[in-house]
Amino acid sequence: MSTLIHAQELTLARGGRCLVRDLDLQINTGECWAVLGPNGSGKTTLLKALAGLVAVPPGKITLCGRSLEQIGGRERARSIGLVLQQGQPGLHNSTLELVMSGHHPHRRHWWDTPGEYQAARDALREVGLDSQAEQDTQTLSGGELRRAEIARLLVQSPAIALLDEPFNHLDIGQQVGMIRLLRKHFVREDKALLLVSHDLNLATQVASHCLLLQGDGRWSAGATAELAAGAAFSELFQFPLHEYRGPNGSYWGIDWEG
Amino acid sequence: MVISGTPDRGPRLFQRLPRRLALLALLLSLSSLLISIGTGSSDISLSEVFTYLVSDDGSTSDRIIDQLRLPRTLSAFAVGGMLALAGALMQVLLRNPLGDPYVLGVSGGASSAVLAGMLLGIPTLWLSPIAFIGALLSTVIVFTLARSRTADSGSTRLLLTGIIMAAGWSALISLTLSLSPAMQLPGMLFWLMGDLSDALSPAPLLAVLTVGLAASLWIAPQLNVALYGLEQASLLGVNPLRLRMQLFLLASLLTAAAVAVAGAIGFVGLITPHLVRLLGATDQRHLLPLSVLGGGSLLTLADTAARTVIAPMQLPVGVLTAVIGVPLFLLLLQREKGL
Repeated sequence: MSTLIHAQELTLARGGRCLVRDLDLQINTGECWAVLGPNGSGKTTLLKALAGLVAVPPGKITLCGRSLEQIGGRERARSIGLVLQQGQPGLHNSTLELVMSGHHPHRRHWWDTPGEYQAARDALREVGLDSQAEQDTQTLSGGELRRAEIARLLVQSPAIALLDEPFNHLDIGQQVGMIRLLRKHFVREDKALLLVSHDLNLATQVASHCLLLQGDGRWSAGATAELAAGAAFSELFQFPLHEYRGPNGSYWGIDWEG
Repeated sequence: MVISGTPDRGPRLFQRLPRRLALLALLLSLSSLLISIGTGSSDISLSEVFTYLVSDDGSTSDRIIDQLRLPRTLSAFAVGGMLALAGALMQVLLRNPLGDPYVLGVSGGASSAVLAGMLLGIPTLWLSPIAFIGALLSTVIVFTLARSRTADSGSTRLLLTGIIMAAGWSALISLTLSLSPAMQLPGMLFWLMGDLSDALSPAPLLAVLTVGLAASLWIAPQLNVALYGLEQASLLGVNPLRLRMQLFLLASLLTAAAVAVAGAIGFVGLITPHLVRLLGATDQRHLLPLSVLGGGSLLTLADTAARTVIAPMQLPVGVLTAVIGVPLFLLLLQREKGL
C-alpha cells in the first residue's frame, strides 16, 4: 500500500466563503473513498482541486510525493481521472469517438491504432453501450452520456479515479452495475477510487473510507466503520436520520412519522 | 444530429466514410477548378484550357487563362478553403456547430480599416495590408478583453466580447459610409459584400492556407479532446488556455488573410464544416482537410457563377454565397437538435 494523493493543510474557498479549512487527506492504493456533505459544502471544488482544475497554493497537494502543479498536463492525466458532474457531448461526435478521447494522455502518435479502438470498444461493452457506439453523443440520454464518460475513464485508466456524483442520472440497476465496474477497475493494489455521492447507503456500503465535509470549514475523514454513525450523518445534514439494521451493516433513512 | 431513418451509422460504414468523402472532395475540387478555368466571357474549350495551362503561345486566350482565370480561380479556392478552415476551428473554439469565422468581429475590423483607408484616399494597392492590420487589431482587442484564467468560463465571455466588437465595427462602417462622397460608395459596397475580381495573386493565399492547414492538423488530436469542453480537455492532458489561444489566433489569421483579399464573403465558413460533419466526418483530423477542399470548391463555383450569370457585368460573390447560404443555413438550423 502506498500513498497516491496527499492533501496537506488544504484550504478551499469559493465566493468568499471558506468551505474546507486545513484539510489533511491521504488516499492510498486499494482504498475506496466516499465524499459526503450537504449542497455547497465544497465536494466538487475539492475534486477539481485534486484533479488540478482549480489552482491551489504550491505543495498543498502531492501526487506520489511530487507537488501537483509541477506535474505536466499529460502526465497528470495519466495518474488522475475525473468524471465531471456536468459532462458535455461533442459536436455530433459518436460515442466511440468520445471514448477514444480517453487515450489522449497516453498516445505519442497522431493516428488511431487498432489496439486503441479495441480498448474503446471493450470499455463500451463494459458499460453496456456497445450498440450505441456509432450514435451521436448529442442524442444520448443523460444516463447514457454518463456511462460513456465512465467508459472514457476506463480507457484513460488513471491511478486514481475521481467521480462527481456519477450515479445521479442512473437507474438503480445501472448504479449497481457501475459501482461493481468501478470497484473492479480502480479498487486494486495499484489504484484508488473516490466518489462524491448524496446516497448515504450506497456510499457507506461501498466505500472503505469516508470524507465528511460540513461546508463551514469543518471536516472529518477516516475509515467508514469508524465514521459512519447516525449521529455523524444527522449532524452533517442537520437532519435526524434513523438507523436500520441490515444483514451486512446499517442503513440510514428517514422516519417520516417521527 | 440523426440523419433521418438511420439513427445508427454502421461501424464499418463509419470507418470507410472518410475515405469515400476524401475521394468525393478531391473530385469536387478538381472539377470545380476546371469548370472555373473553362468558363467565362470568351469561349475556350476544355482541351484548349489544358494546352494553355502547360504551354505558352502568347495568344489572347492563353493570356486570359494564365493571367486572369487561373489566378482568380486559385484565389477563390484558397479564400474558400481558408474561410471553411477558420469556420471549423471557430466551431471547436466556441463548441458550437454553427460558429462562423466572422462572429468574433475579425471581418468588422478589416472592413472598418479598409473603408477608412478608402475615405482617406489611400492607394488601392495598400488596402489589403490595411485590411489585414484591421483584422489583427480586432483580434488582439477581443482576445485581450476576453482573456480568462480558468478553462470553464472563457468561451461565453469570448463570444460576447466578439459579438459586441462586431456590433461596434458595424457602427463604425455605417459612420464611414455616411461620411463618404457618393462616387466612392459603389467601390466600398462591393468590398463590403465580398468580391474576388481584384484577387489575382494566389501564391501568398495558397501559402497561408497550406501553413494554416498544417498547423490545424498538428493540433487536431487536441481539438478532438476539446470538443467535449476545455475543462474536460484539461483533464485529458491538454493545456486549455494555450489551445484556446492557438485556435483563436489560427482562425483569426486565416480569416484576416481571406478578408484582406476578398472582403467579407459570408456563409462559406459557416456552412462548409457543418455540411462535412453532416456527411459523417466528425473527427477533426478528417473534418479540417475536408472542409478546406469543400470550402474551396464552393467558393470557386460561386465565383464562376458570380462572373458569368450577368456577364459582362460581375456580381460580388459575397451576394451569391449569401443567397445560397441563407436558405441552406435555415434548413440546417431546423434539423439541428439541442439549440
